[in-house]
Amino acid sequence: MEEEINNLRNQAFFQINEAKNIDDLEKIRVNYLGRNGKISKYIKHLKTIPNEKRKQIGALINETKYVITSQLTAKRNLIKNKAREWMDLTVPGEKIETGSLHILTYAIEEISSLFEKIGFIRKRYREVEWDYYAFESLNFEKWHPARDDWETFFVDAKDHPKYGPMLLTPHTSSAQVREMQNAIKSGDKAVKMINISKTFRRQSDASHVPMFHQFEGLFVDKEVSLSNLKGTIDYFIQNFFEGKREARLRPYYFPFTEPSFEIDISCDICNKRGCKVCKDGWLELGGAGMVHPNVLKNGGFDPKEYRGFAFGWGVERVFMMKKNLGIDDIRTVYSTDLRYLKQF
Amino acid sequence: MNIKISDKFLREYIVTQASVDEIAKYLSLSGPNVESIQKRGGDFIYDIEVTTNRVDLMSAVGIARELSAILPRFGIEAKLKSIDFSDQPKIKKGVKFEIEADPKLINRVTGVVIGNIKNFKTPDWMKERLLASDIRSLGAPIDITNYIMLEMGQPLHVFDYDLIKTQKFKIRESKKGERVVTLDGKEYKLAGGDVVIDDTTGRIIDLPGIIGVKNSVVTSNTKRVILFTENNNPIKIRKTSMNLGIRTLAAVINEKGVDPTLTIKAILRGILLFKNICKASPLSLIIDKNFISYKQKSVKVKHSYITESLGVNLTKKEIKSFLTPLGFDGKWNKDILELKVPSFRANDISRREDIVEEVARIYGFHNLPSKLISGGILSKRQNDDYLFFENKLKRLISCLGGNEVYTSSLIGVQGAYKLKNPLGTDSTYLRTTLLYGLVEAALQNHSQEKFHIFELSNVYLPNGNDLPLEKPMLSGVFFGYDYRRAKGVIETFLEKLHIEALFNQVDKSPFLPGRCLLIRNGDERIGMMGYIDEKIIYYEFDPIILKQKHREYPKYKKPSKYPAQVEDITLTLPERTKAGDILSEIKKSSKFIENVRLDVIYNDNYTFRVWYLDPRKTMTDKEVKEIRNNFLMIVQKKFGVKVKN
Repeated sequence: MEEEINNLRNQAFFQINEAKNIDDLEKIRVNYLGRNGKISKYIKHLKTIPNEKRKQIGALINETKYVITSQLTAKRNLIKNKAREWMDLTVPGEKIETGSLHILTYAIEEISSLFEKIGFIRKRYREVEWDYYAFESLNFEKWHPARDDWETFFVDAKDHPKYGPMLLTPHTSSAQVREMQNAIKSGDKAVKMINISKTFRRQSDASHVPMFHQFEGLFVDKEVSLSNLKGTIDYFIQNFFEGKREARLRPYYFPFTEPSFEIDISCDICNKRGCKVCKDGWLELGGAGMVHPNVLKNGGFDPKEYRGFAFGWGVERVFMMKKNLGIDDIRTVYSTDLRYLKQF
Repeated sequence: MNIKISDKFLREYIVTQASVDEIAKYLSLSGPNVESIQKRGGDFIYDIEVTTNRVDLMSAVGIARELSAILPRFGIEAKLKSIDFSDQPKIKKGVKFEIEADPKLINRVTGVVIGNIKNFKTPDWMKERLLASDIRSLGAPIDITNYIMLEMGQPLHVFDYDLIKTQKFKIRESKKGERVVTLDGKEYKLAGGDVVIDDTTGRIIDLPGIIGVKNSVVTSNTKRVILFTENNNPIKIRKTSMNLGIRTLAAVINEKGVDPTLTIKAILRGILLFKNICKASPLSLIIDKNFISYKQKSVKVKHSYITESLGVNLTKKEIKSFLTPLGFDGKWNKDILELKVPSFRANDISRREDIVEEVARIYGFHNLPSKLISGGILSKRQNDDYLFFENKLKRLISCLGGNEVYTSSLIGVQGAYKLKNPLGTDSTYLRTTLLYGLVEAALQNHSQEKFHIFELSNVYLPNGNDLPLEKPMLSGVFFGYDYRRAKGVIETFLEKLHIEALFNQVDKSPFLPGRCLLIRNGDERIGMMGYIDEKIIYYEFDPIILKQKHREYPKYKKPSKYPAQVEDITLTLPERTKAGDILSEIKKSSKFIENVRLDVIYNDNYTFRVWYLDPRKTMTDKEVKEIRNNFLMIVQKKFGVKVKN
């Protein structure tokens, strides 16, 4: 009997040694140590063994059980450790090829969402316009320099009998009278517009390109004051620009607003020291003012009852003023070089 | 327009303790913008931007007047100083000098003959002040005219009296093709209709308000001069100056419309300076032909209108105190302020809003409180949503590898609308397609192996005599792309918009012959794509149609409880067989084919992966075999394909 048990143990050792995986080991365990396993059978037979031998055999069985169990555990750990093969998880990944949105698109999205939060509705108005909407209805004098061939692009087309020459809109302000007229057509008694559109001027240098984008806010209602305009400007500057940027308001002149002023913001590129983009450390953000009564009238709002404010600023300009963007030439914005585009 | 004034010059007209930096800072906040301060010697030069409505500020006196209103608001005292003028000359019999002027061409002409010039040397202080404004010294007589222009904002001119034999000026319009040589020696050909001064012999001796002519220029040999000035028609000045490209300071000032009362003051100031500097004296009476009768304007404004427009309560006394130093003569009549407008602001101030502006800027925009807007809800109008959709399209394409560009609306390729005054031949037309801009952008990046660029912008389509139809287009270019990858991008794009697309291969310009794919949804064309050249695949969509056809979200389909059976089938296609046709043929052969995908192409061998699915149960091998045999039979018959393995 002792020999049989010793044989069983050797057989188990051999099988454990040959086992390839955890499943094999489990089979071996069940085969020898399970409830009906080969070793367990001997335990059941113990009571048939004479007393004097029983104790000795019992000790042998226990010992065999113990060594098989410890061999199984050792082998199990070996197999497990083998599975943990060397692998470099820091290997550079295979990137998904994505594209890029243009910085102007980011700028337009950000500007429109900021103004939408305080109740302005985004619009996009015409890029090709009649003189009437671009100048005449905005109270421009007939001789105003913006109306001549040196500053505004004119289209080679027949003049409109009522609205005059066809031109490329030089500013988003051309939408003021159109939006007021549309508001009245829709039965609205007020206007809250943020018009973001392409605009065109005959110019080209580090801070001017012939085609650019502006955004124009127009608010018309019964109770509107200069303080509302100031509040709107402060809201925008505080939310659009990071960090501490100073703003200043300067009196200015526009035919379609009265009073008019220009808003400057401290230059981020040179930190107010003066550089290629700014002249004196201040960057012109754009113009603003209270809507001129003639313009309200042309839009169909009675200036005795209604007042309004408007502001019109360059999209590229304000975006270039953002902290740490580092673009100091507006022509770069319109570059189609992928090495630039892909950065955004 | 800008004016440069030295600090010492400015302080001739104002007494103040304000520092140079304070003057620049406060002037910018409440008046014209000081763009820079430059130190030169012991002096400083202010470079000041003046807006077109405030030509009165193109002068030292004008700037001093502004400061006298602004500085006290910042707690700094400032007092204007007056300037000296000569009395009207008293001469019994002056030398001959006559002016013949047409009121249609000029508003006012004023002149005097001055002789006995003993000194031609300009004093250093005057030279320095001129130089600060970038004006070269050209001898005392000419320097005096420029000095008065900087001082008072009225451009003047001197002629050599003895070089004008007729001693008579005739102001007329130029004829086309007439030539003049200006005092800087440059020759110009006139366009016709320019205002000129003729000595009545047909000889042009001046382009008034713009620049002098060489034939009557004053030199150190000059014995007698005509000191002359005009009030001009601003439109005529602008036209001549821009046409000839002569942008003198005089022209820049005159094209804005100068105070018509200034000419006589400038001549009287001139007589005094000629006396003081050149030891000269007048030889004639002043001739002054004034064709416009200037009447002082007045404006009325209610107290409440001012306070409501500002959103700030200002007292009547404060308001008046802001306006008086600016030259407004004001009187409160109960709650109404009656203001007399000074002549130098006549072009600029005509209504109550103008007064609000003056009050607001002197009060200080920086002192205004910040308040946000309020108001009711407005109606929802057409097009308000479309712009959001554009953003969605852009984001989608960029996620699929597209790089967004903004190319110019103005191109060199003929379109429906042409500019009258383009900047160059490459930007003469309004584009009717985004194709050219995108191809140009693609070629610019040709050193890159493979890329995808796109743009969503307007094109300009013909619309009779009306404004062009501004139609947004979504277009893009795949450069160096494998065709299947490019088409896959387009298919995924449409899938993500939940638009079902059909494709038709056709011949269509501007694509290579037979290399255009029309993309339809039902019967409607929604876009197209194809080869422009061997390396460039171009596509375009109409975003407005995409918006109509797309769905924000699809209708929910319950996923099947049973697994699909998947297998790969490789077919050998005869030459010129369209794989898309085979794929759709397989797809429509049984309702239990859930999906078919073209996987690999190797020579003529096309491997399709087929998903078989019965939503009601797990399919048996036998059922799958039947479906497979059926479609294999169909494609064998219809396309002559062979089944591999």
